[in-house]
Amino acid sequence: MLHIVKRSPYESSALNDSLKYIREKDILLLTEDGIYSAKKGGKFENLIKGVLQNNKVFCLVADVKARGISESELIENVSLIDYKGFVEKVCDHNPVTWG
Amino acid sequence: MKFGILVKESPYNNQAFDSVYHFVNAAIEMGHEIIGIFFYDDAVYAGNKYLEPPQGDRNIKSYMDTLKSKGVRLVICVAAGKRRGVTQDTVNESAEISGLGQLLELSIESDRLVTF
Amino acid sequence: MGDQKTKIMFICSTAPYGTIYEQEAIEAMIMFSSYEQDISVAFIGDGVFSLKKGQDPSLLNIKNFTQTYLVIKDDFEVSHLYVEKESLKERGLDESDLITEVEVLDRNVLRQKMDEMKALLPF
Repeated sequence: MLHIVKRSPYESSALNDSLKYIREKDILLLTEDGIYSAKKGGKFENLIKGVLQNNKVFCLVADVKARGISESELIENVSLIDYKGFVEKVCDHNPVTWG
Repeated sequence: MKFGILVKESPYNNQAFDSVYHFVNAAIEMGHEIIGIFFYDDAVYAGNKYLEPPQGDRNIKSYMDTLKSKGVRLVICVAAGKRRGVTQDTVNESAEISGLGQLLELSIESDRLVTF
Repeated sequence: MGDQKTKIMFICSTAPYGTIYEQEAIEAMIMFSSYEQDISVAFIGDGVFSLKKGQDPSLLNIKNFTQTYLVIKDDFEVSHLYVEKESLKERGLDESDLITEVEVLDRNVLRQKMDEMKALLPF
């Protein structure tokens, strides 16, 4: 499954809900305000690092860039993808959007 | 692949419709087929033909027209639309008003249903 | 639409009244269930509050639309109403607090059900 989280983890349970349902081979895709989940030094850093042990985590580059977050401010091993990358992930996995 | 899109969020309170727009354009460019976008909940406001954003602002109406010109069906839920004043009389010409059966059809006929 | 029934799951994770998602999700469920497909509804997170007994939104001038769940399984063709056990517990609820008979499932089991679905509709 592809778990899409588009709300800020500081105001929504979407990230937490998605992580309760993430399993081996699933992917976490952070879009819109969801990208704040992947900010280095943020409250959710350890949580995301835990996910990265078993799953791939992607951020939508347009949303990261719009919000003034540079690549170096993202947690290590979180990858950036563009909308075409988003489309590819949806092709590979059945998507569910949380929150 | 065939994609169906469900969008539930208001086009101005929320980024969802922007994400739909960019996602759909990317998918079409890659040769995929978008069999329809279903507007539900507050997303139906995107179908209001009287939208008049200030100059330089992103223009939901022109996003709708662009998607339509690429052959994408834009379906406004009749019940959700009526509740919010988006009806046959007020719907923009790029969109159509139809029932929830269309969302079911998208769920069945698409390879992937993506919700925004 | 083909002979094979399509498996579709509504994932209800928002509480009723505060937003309209739950109400319009129910309208969609009713419509979907009349087309003889394989429709499931899963209540997780705050969505479990929708099934709480004793709701009376009359002072809000809102129809008690959750009454619909009492009939949705029998009169309409919704195959399964699932509730996530962990979400109930977290919110101080158990099965006896719910308005109708549902299948209370562990998160892991519910996740397996999700894997069988053609489409997942979050509300």
